Amino acid sequence: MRGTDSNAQLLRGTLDFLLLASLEAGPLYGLRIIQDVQAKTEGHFRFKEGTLYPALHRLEGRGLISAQTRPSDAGGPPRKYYELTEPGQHELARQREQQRAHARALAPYLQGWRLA
Amino acid sequence: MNRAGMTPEERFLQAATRGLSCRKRAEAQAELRSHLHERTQQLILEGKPLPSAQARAMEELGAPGEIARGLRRNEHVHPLLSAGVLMAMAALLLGFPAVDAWRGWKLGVPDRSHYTNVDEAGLRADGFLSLPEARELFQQYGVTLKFFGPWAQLDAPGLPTIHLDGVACSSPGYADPDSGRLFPELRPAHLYLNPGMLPLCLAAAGWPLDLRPDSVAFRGKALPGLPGAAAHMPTLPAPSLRNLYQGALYSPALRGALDGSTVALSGLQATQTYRVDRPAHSPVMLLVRFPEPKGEPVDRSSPPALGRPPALLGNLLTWVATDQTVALPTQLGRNGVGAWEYYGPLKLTRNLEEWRSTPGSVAVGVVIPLSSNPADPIRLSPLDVTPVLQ
Repeated sequence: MRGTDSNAQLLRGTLDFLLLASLEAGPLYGLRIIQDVQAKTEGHFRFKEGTLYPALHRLEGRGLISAQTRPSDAGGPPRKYYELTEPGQHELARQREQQRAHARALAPYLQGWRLA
Repeated sequence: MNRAGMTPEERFLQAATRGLSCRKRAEAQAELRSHLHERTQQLILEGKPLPSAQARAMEELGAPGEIARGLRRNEHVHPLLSAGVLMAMAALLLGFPAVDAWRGWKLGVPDRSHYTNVDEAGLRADGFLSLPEARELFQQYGVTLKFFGPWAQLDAPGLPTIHLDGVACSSPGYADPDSGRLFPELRPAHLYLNPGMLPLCLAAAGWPLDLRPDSVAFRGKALPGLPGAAAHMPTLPAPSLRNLYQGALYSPALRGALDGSTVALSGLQATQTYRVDRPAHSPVMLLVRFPEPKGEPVDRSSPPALGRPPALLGNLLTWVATDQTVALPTQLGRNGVGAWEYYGPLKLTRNLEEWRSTPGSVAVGVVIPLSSNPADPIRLSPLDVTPVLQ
């Protein structure tokens, strides 16, 4: 992960959620996941890309995502596509609620002292 | 090949996968190689010359040593061999074969991948069972659950052993690590299994199952968690029945004949009822060949089995109703992968020749009969489906 240490700390706790959420719309392969997260967060979360694959393999080991190698439609080597499993969908729903609760709890402090 | 003869990418891949087992190493290298290739192509399209595009792609991936460390953590390999030996001795005293104890030690490193992020109450609410409880459950089916730390396996007479090692089957997990327990890996009462995943494990291992629309049975007894029981426990993560047929779907025979990878169909629209000559409540599968991507280069690196490039297939498991009809889509929603994403009509055919001769620009499907035992091979004999006038 790039960026400041605080950003790295924030991302570390959010990485699983981002990965699961990026697969919600359908199967994606590693590079597309990185680029999807960067595009959707307008570059706020910038992975050190090599950290992505251990995280994906860990989620796969937990049965939250499954992987399948398919031919590349760009003429290169085969790609490994990751897909949310049903336990992964449940875990995503749980983490999403957790993130929302977190954001709700922080909201009064994020508004600043003038509005408190 | 010695290191001096390697390209910079190959040296990078070697370093980024150092310390992994042979199989994991080959898999990880293939994935990283694909990443480097595609990122390099992107950078070239952005105007970078090849050498600097390659260097930049590697730089973006990060330090290869860090990648290797991350990947090794997932493989649960621990350098403390002596501790592993102690564990094996302890296991021997408890009656486990030494090789199993060694597996137990390798998986027993309290790595975060064994933690569930859910506390014990949450796991209980989701229907998870502790290992001793799961052992009692499995005994009802004549199945023996052995465990040592997070290493666990299922045995039944005459059937292949199933290793619950996180590869085909989820390994036992600890509740939320924040509870601060010491040596949790030695306390099976604090390790949990999701019985809802059991049918998937059994199917993947080729154990005989009997699938019905409302239950999955093993040796005449319904297994827990699927799908009737899951209806009463909405938070229980249970696999979809379609996944039980994955072993057959990815069998070389089927893939060779149909020439493609498969994904689950979703976003289906506009169903039509068809009459089929199959018993009520028996499973059937709709296999769809997606149209070839328009204007996209197709990977021709692997030899096509039927004289055309590999296709993307979609599959849908459904059940024959009591009046011997099935409801099938006439339109596909936004479906497929990448350039194969497709929205449009679906043509049903009744024989494989028509499937093969249908132009690549058309989404074409066949309905094939399935056995209620997902371990049985899939017969590629499309069913004759007749539309029912409504």
